Amino acid sequence: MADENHPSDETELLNEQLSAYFDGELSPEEKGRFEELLATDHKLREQLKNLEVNWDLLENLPRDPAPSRFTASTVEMVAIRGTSAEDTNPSRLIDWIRRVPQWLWIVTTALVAGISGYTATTIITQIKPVSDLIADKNAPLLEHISFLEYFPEYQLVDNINFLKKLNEIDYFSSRTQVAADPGIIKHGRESKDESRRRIHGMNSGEKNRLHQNYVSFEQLPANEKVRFLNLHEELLQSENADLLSKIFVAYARWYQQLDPLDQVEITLRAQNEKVSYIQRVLSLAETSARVVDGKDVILMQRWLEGVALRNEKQILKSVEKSKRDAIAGMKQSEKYRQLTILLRKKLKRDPRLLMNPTERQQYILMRSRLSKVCQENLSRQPSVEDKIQFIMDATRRANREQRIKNFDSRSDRLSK
Amino acid sequence: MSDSKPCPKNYVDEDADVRLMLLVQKGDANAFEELVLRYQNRLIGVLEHLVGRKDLAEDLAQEVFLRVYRARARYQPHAKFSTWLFTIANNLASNARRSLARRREVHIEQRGSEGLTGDPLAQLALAASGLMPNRQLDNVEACSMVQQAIQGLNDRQRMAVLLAKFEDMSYAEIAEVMQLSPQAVKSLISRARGSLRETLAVYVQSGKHPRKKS
Repeated sequence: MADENHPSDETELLNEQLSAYFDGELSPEEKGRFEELLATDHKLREQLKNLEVNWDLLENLPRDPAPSRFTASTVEMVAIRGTSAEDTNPSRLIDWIRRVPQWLWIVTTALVAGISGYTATTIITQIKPVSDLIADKNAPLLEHISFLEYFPEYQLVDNINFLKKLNEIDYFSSRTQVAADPGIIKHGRESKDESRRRIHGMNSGEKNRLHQNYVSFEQLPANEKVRFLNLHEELLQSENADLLSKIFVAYARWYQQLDPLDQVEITLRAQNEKVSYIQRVLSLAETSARVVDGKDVILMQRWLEGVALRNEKQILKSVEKSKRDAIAGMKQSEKYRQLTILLRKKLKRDPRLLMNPTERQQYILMRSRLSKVCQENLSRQPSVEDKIQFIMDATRRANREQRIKNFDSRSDRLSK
Repeated sequence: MSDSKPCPKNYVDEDADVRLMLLVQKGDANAFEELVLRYQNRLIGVLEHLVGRKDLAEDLAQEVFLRVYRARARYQPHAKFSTWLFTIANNLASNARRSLARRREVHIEQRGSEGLTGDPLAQLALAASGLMPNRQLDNVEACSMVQQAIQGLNDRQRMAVLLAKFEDMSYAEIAEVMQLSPQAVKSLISRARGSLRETLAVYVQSGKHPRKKS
């Protein structure tokens, strides 16, 4: 073999062969020749072994998983940006533009200007301002104002039964207890004079929204208009109108913040499949909410250890003397680990351990350093007990996954 | 990936991800989401070591998926899906590196002794806790040292090593991703291994942290 300190072409070639042999990239003949060489050259065998060790060391390269919202935000971004400028090749477009004769541009521009002018005039003459639309006391806008204010939301609902089924889903029914009354029922029962006064009192944004809704509604076919108005009437007349109107608004708000792809999926589904699909989306959201980033787990674990150390005496009181002595004699890292395990058990039974000022302060500090997603997940937990349970679940899950990973990598090495 | 190349294999039967991509081509949104789920960690893992910044790696990974989606109509299964995906990723990463260099904002994030998270205290806490039960501090050191060794490679060597190590790609596949000949990849990987051997030698022999190359 050539001297390592003075690499020659021959050495380089041999190194390449060694590397390709390790990767299984030599042809059968090359492999045979190389193995003959290996059998006689112990330095080469050592190099091969060294190469294997170095290659295995690369397993230690940190490879953080994608953030928990990555999939959703990517699909969302692609849904928005994926279709814009799609398949448009700028150079081809420029070539095409260059080839079009000039006279054609002049004619096209004139035509576009003419059509735009005509369309603008039509729109201006057909769409009157809100104040004009309510001048007549029998004006449709005045008559259906409580419906028109929620026209986009009504488009998401097939019928009253759909709302009743949504009420059976905890996510929506729980929101009705805290949600403000959207006023659909109250406004549905107001007189036309009251409606007119209300419209005059609206700010320009509210007026614009109402105007837009009115224009969209007017463009519907007659039977669709009737269907929507009947649905609105049915909601006003239903026994639990207040409750259903809250469900109605809660669902619309939930739908609006969904990923666009989920919105499409829900809209396209038949009514009987819709509710089960909504449940699936909700359960998937819950599942993803349980996923916590590695860094958050570390912060939570460190906080748990801090609590364990500060309350060491109190925690150790609850265990037998022999175990207490065993823990006292442990190495520090193992002691922290054992104390944290005991703390978990204790907190599960008695979360009041965290109610002293130091622990509360530490909890707030730890929480402020968590990722936004993790903070939101914690906020969703209704009680202190649930918050602690969330932290313990996340750290326990991470411990388990790490143990499995370690076990797998050990098994892999042994099998090699 | 060249369209003029003959199709040597039936990738539709062999590669489940190719079948997913063909579903995306037909407008199946779930198939696209599945592809994102399957590749997001792998892609971010490779890109992070290529561009040296996690935030940029995540942005680039999203851009890769966007390119995949936009190219769905033109997609032809001429190679494994992963080869096609990493070809896009390699091109985007090269552009990003060039742009960073132009703006003089090159910032290779050294994870140093803290390893996994970039937060030394957090990593030490992890090591001291039960999250990494065995030989914690050894692992942290190994992690830091390997990170340093991989950053010591040039861009092309690093890409070739990452694809070979973490994507189990053959030389022919790496060649396709990096638009090189398989012979050039063979030579690239061999030299990369030589460089890794030098950087890691001190650690392998004595278990000590090697000095940073000047």
